[in-house]
Amino acid sequence: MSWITTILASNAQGRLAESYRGLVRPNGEVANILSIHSLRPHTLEGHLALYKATLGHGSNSLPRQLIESVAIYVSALNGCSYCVRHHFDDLREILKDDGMADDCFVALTTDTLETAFDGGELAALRYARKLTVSPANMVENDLHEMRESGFGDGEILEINQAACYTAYANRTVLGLGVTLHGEQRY
Amino acid sequence: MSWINTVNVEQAEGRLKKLYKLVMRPDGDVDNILKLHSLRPHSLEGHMALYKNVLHHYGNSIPTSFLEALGVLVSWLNSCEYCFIHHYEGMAKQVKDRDRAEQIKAAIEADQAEQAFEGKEKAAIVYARKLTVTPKDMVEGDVIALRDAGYDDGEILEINQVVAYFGYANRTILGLGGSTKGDLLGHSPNKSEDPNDWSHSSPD
Repeated sequence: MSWITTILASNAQGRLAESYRGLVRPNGEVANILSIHSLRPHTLEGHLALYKATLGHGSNSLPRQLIESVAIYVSALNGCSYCVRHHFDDLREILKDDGMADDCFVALTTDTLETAFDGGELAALRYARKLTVSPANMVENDLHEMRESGFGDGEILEINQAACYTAYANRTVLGLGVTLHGEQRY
Repeated sequence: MSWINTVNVEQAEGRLKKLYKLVMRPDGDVDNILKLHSLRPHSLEGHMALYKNVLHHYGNSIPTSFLEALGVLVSWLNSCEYCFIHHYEGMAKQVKDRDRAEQIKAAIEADQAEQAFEGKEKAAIVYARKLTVTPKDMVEGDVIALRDAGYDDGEILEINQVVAYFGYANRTILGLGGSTKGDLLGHSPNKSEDPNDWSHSSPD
C-alpha cells in the first residue's frame, strides 16, 4: 500500500481517529493519500487545509473543472498516476459527461492540450506546465496569455495554487510509494 | 514586488485583515510570500496550516534546524532565491552557529550538500534532491536507504513533507514573481508548541 507504516481507520486512536473522522469512505477506510500521514496526524491536518484552500474552495471564482484539469495535468507531468486517477474521478463527477471527460483525460495525459482545450483554459494549463517542469525559468510574461484571455489576478493566483498544491501532493505520493491498492473505487 | 496585485497591511479588510494579524512580524508588516495570497485569503490560510505543521510543530521529532536545512536545499535546487534567503536565515538562527550555517550554505551552493552532513542526515539530503528534481524516478529503495541510515517511518514522513512543502512554496513564489524586497529576513512562525500561533518572530 505504501513504503512506510500507516494506520487503518479501524485501528486509529486518539488524535488520528479524530483527524480521520469525516474522511472515512463507505468501505470503512480513508484514501491512501490520507492514511500515509498517520504517523504524524498534524501533517494530515496541514495537507487537508491546503487541499481545501486550493482545489475545493467555494471562494474560488474559476470553474472547478479547470482547477481539476490543472491537477490532472500536473500529476501526469510528474508521473503521479495515483493523483491522475483521483482527480480524473473528480473531473468526471463535475462534468457529468463521460465523453467530454475522456477527451480531457487523453489531452491532459498525452500532453496534447489543444485537442480538448482552448482560450483561457489552454493558457492556464500552459502556465501550469512550465511551473511544474521548469520553475526556475518562470518570467512575468508567462502570465500574459492568461491575462489576454481575461483572467484577473485573483484567478491567476487560483491557477498558481492548484499547480503548487499538486506539486506537493505528487511528492507526498511519489516519495512514499502511495498506491491505489486496497482503495475501493466508488 | 510581484507580478500580481497584492494588498498591504494598512489596506487589508475583513478576513484578510484578521489573517494578516495572525501572521504579523514584530515590525507590524507581513512577509511578501504571504501577501501574494491576498486576493484569495483562503489560500493564505491553507498555506500557513501546511507550513506551520510541517516545519514548526511539536509533533515533529527531527530538529527544526535540519528541516530548515532541507528547505534551503530544495529552494536552491528550484532556484527560488526568495525561499533560499529566508530559510537560510531561519536555519542559521536555529543552528545558533554562523560558521556551521555558512558551511552548510557553501556546500549547497556547490551542489555538494551531502559534504556538510554525516550519517543519516546525508541520506536525507540524497532523498530530498531526488524527490525535488526527478519525482517520477522515486523507488522504494530511496525510502529503504533512509531507514537503513537510522530514520524511523515517522521521521521519513517528516522529511518527505518538508521536501513536498517546498515544492509547493517555491512554485508559489516563482510562478507569481515574489521578491524579498521590504522583507525582514529570518522571521518564522517558530512557536512550535502552539500549532495555532502563526505569529512570525525571530527565534533569537
